[in-house]
Amino acid sequence: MSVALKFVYAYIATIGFAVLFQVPKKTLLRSGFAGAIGWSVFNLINQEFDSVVVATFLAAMVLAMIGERFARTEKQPFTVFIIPGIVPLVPGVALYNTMIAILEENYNLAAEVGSEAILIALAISGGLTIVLSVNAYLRKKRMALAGRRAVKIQEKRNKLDKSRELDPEELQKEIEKTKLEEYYKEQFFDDDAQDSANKEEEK
Amino acid sequence: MEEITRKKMLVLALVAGEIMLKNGGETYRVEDTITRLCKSRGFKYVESIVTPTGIYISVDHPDEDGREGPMHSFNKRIKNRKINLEKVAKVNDFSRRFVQEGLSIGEGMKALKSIEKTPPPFNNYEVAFFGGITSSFFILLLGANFPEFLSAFFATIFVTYTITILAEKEFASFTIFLVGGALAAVLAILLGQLSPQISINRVIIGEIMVMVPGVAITNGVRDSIAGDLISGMARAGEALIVAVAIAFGVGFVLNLWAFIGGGL
Repeated sequence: MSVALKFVYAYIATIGFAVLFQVPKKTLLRSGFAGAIGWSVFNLINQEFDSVVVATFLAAMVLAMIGERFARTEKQPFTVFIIPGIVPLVPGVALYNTMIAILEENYNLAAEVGSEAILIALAISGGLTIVLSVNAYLRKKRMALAGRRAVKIQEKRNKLDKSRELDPEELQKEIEKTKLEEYYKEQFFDDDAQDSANKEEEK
Repeated sequence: MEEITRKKMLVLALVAGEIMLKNGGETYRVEDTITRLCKSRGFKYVESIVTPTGIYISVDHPDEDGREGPMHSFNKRIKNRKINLEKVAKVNDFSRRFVQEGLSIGEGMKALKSIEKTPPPFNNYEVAFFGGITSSFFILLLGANFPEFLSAFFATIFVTYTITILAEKEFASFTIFLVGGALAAVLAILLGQLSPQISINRVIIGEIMVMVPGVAITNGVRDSIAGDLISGMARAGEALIVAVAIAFGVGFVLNLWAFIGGGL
């Protein structure tokens, strides 16, 4: 089966999952896209290196990156894109095979496929967690930068016009506000807010 | 802040968290939302502990004269959880509006009530139909042939519809997935008799894909890695119960089928 055909199948399957999880209608196509890319990465790496766990790990990382990207452009929480996308990677087949092996009282096989299922679940969560925690770190850094920017803007104002000077408490409030704006910008990427922040800085 | 306003604010944060948690929001997102909502209205000290079965918040704030105010604490038990990501997205958006645009508490409460009442974006029939699409295209990825594709499609529509209705009637999740698994196996065996081309195993794999607790497993491990150990263990436990229920249902029917002489 060609890669393109599998991509289409994965796309449609992921859209189905997205409907099962009741994602907002306007994000359906993007959820499908994230899932299809994730599954294609999994498929290609699995074919190349013949390791389900490594392939799942890398696919989860790619999926998390795409999900974070879409979360910003679409102003939605990233779960909307990631949860439907991980389902094709989830060890459903491995779980089923474990169950069949237990039914057939073939406990060696059950332990083998069962541990594979657990490893796949770990690989998915590991891949997601690495990308998401790096992103959380970057967000914190951006928030700190925004706070420093607020201080600088205030200092410039002080030089220009003594009457607009803020006392330390108000300055602290101003910093907190800027940080908060930065925080929500991450979750709901807003181009207008970005522009106004840039203009403010230029002044 | 007045006593009554504080209480209302706390209830608002609790309701926002509850909607998120009930509809599949992650633990840290719920905690973060509650903390941000409370801090935006001037509570100096906010702690929230969220587990899949409950929300615990406590807040403290000195009043205008700087005297110690009373400490408030609210608990909320969460019993039913389903996944409706649209509501999570809406509450997330609400929290941004509430914090940045300064809605009043009354307006905020109204907005939350209307979010809670919004019907899910897809009704039961649409969900069942897409369940069929999902499982049939998923087994195509595993290399299924056309008869298997068709049987998985129709069987899963039936299975998905059944579990949705059972979930609506608030049966315990073990019962729901036990019935779902058994139904999946029965349908697969029946359809398997139509043509020798149809592999019962593959059709069952397709059908149970709409039920496997993949999200719970993954979120469980992720919560545990992130240090939310109670949530992690609770979600992993939930996943285990669901997996056992499906295996029970499928396994029981398959064993029965083998017992009366049919082959897999």
